[in-house]
Amino acid sequence: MAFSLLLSVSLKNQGWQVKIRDKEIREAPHVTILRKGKPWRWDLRERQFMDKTPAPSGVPEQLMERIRESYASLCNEWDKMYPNNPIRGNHGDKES
Amino acid sequence: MAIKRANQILVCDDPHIADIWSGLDATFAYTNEEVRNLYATVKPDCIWIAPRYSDMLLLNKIVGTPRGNHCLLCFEPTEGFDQHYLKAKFRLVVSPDDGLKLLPSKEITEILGLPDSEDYFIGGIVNTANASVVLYRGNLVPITLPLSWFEAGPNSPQPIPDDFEIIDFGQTVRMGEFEAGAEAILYEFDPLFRRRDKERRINTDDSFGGALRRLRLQKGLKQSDFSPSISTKEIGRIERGEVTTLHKRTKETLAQLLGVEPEEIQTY
Repeated sequence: MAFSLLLSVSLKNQGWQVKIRDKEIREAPHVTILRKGKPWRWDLRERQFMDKTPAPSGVPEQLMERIRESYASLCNEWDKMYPNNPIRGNHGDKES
Repeated sequence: MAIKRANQILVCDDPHIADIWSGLDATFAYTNEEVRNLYATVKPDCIWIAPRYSDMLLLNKIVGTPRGNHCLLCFEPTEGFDQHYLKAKFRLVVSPDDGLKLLPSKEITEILGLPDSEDYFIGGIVNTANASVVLYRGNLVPITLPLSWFEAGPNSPQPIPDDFEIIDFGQTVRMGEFEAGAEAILYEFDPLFRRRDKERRINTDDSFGGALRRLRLQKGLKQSDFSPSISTKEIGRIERGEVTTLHKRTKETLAQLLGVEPEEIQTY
């Protein structure tokens, strides 16, 4: 199922959600952070926001802490959902 | 009655009810006469919004030939209203009839106020008989896609078409436990969205691959210009961010061919 990260009551009450949605077949591994009409995408490989808009500063530090502390489980969930596009990659310049 | 936003008109027979919609940057019309005058004078591609069935009755005094491409959004079923009349006046009517599901009105109001409202879905319907899904965008334009597109991945739940709704302020289509992002759908089925998305990504991509792409284009080089040192395919993979660990020697070769220092590439 689409994965939804458990958040504190206060973050939930503010309308925040963190999801790994189905059918993200063309993207680098990421979670989608949602609040009202705004989506932020956070790259699970680079551990940074993928877009400049909406401004990453709009996401509260409390939520980012929750994402960082759940990083391993988010990666596991992504890898389960998208075995053909795993976090560590399955291709590329592997000389190093 | 001042005309505010040029392309949205809210018709409502009760000014107190209309207050609920005051957040909408639309022109408000409270009487048959105001509606008739607006229909005759405004730009011919307006979105008309009727919150309640009783508000729709304000529309039934529009006379004459239809103008332009007006669309009508009703939050209550239009059942009982003269459908021929509506079709004669509005190119498109979006309403919760025949199983069409709309987002909550509060969320639609916010979407209608966004400059990129067309990138959100305000409602939709699954037609299992012809295995299709019709989704209505924030500008009321419909997009049709095959139900088969919602095919589940190896570890995803099967979509349940009977349990369909639009959620997350128009950003997610849910079928049972299966959820697909509006962006993923639009990317696949709307070439204009794809083009906009591509431009946005190129301009905002902070990754090494994004920097490499910008630098290569700035130097007027094609991906194939790096071969035989680095294959065209490999350049494409680096630029798309598919190469997670780039070897120092590869970076040095790239820098040499681009005429910059290796550590400079990322700064472009």
